[in-house]
Amino acid sequence: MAVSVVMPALEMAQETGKLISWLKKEGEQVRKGDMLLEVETDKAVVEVEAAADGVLAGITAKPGDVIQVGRTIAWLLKAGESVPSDASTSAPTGRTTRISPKARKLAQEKGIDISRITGTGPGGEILAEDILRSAGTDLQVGPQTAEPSSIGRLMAERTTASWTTVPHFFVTRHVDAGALNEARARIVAGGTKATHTDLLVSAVARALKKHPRLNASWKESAVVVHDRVNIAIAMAVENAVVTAVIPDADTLDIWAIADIRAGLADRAQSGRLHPGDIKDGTFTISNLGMYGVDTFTAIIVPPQVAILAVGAIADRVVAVDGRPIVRPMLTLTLSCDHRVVDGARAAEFMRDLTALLAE
Amino acid sequence: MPDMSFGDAIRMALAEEMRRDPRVVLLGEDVAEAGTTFKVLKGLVDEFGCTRVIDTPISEPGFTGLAVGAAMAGMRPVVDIMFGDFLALIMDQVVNQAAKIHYMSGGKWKVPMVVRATMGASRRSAAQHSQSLHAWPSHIPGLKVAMPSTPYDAKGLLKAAIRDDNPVIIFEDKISYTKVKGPVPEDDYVVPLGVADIKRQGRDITLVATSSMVQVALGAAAMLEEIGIDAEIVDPRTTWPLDEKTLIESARKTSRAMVIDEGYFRYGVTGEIASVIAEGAFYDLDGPVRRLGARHVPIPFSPVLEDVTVPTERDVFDLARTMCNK
Repeated sequence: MAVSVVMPALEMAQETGKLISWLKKEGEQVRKGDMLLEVETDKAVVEVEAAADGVLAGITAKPGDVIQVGRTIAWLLKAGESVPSDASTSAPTGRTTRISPKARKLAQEKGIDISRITGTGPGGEILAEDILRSAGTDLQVGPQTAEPSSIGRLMAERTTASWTTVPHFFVTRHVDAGALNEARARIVAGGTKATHTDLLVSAVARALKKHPRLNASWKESAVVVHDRVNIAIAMAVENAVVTAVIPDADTLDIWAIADIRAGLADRAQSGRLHPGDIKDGTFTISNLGMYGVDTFTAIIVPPQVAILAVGAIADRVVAVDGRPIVRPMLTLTLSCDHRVVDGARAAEFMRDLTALLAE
Repeated sequence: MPDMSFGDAIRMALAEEMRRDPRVVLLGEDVAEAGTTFKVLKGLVDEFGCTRVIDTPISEPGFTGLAVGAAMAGMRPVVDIMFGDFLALIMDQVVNQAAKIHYMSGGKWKVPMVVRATMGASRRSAAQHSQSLHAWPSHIPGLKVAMPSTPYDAKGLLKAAIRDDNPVIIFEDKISYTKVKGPVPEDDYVVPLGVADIKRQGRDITLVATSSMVQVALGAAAMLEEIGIDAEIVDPRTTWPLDEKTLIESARKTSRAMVIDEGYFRYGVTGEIASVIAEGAFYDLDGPVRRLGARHVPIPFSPVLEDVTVPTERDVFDLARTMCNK
């Protein structure tokens, strides 16, 4: 029997997916398990496998289409089979937008989503004027409006929700990074491309084992303390940020952490993080040190209850034993959810983290 | 430069060509002493005599066939078809003979004849004397069809038609003979066949209009200007050869186009021109190409009914306004 290819639900509560590309062509023989298409969800671009052997046929979605989860977008046919004609297998599509050829051309040139425009033509058609008005261009020059990507939109929603509902407070410590620098130099000399972030992941994971209250979630007015320590690392991607997760970081040595982190960074840069790469983080580290930032405060990623903001390591004059000396210094700022973590607990975590970094 | 009526411009063109070329002769009903029913040829017989301005019996097929033969033999006859409706009588002479000779003789024979025919309603002349049948010859390979709308174009197109080495049918609007006046140079000029003219420059909508409908479009454009719509009027001047480039460029510029023609709407000139524009300017159009033409009925004798049968300024105004969404 012909097997339908449907837009998969890759995340809970996912309603639509955006088809990025077909990895096989119409009419091509496909084996079960072959990568068949790429789909962008709110969080990542994911490759989807073929569910059966067959010839790919009856493709009804093209790259860029946003498709309801569960809708049939193609078929895998065995020899002698044809694409079923029963239209009830696909979800109903919306009314087609009536738009003039000129307006369509203008919309494409200006990158305007016509589904957001109300036509003012005699029959409600979208006319060139509607596009120009929407673009706000015509003759005037002004700020340009850009549609956010899925990830960008999600970032906007999540940070707003966090900042407006989570009672944040911040704890800052200046840390001597001499030992950290030496440790990294030793590992790099051994042939592993470890970063300061890798060492911080390792230290934070160990500190969290001692302070499980910071490795927790606020869920429906209750505190859920996690037994696994999954450290999420904030990574900048185009016009947005993603948090990729190193699971069970407390059980990994520095070499394993460096290896996993490097893989995550590669996939994040190419927009190809797997769903598993971004789920179940329990604590986040955001490092802006490489940008020369001395200190900053980060927004907590719910349902996590804390995030560590890491600044740059820089030579500073500090007092040691009553004398001014120059030391490589690092500023760490912990953001905490006061519903779960109080100031004293945050301070104790920071004290222990500082001690671990001094080892 | 003196203003001159459309009819006087026709007579001027004929007189100039007859003086220039002794092979040019006129044939038709009441063309000599009467100067035709519309007095357009008045006085020509006095200058050129009855051997070159020839009154014929009432037999359009006869004298049109005579003209085809004369043209093949080296003359340049101009045939007068008093009412364009009588085109039905000369279809074989024009369509199967005049239009085909050059092709079938492998270019050895030419048929340098002109058929002058009238067109246009609103003269209370009833169903058999009011039609605009220019779509018919426009359909036939081997025929050229001119449709002047101004005295200037009438003189220039008719002179070009007479000088053309193969058959040209020129349609003259009966109402325009006396009603349309304009500047006409005394010079010997021609308007080449196949070159459209922009009768009014505009930004918002292209009105393609032929012959009598150019005046209607100009009237409508003045009304449209008052509500802020700047119409461009393109006069193709010949339905074949057709200046497709000018039509398409204008439609691309304004992004809206309407075609207005006095011939029957169904299967007519408007359909052909609209499709040329739709094909050539599709991606720059902000709406469908629209058309106005004569209703699909015999032209009524009743003045009230006749006046609503062919497009009016008000019709053009209303449709243009809808198309411009104002």
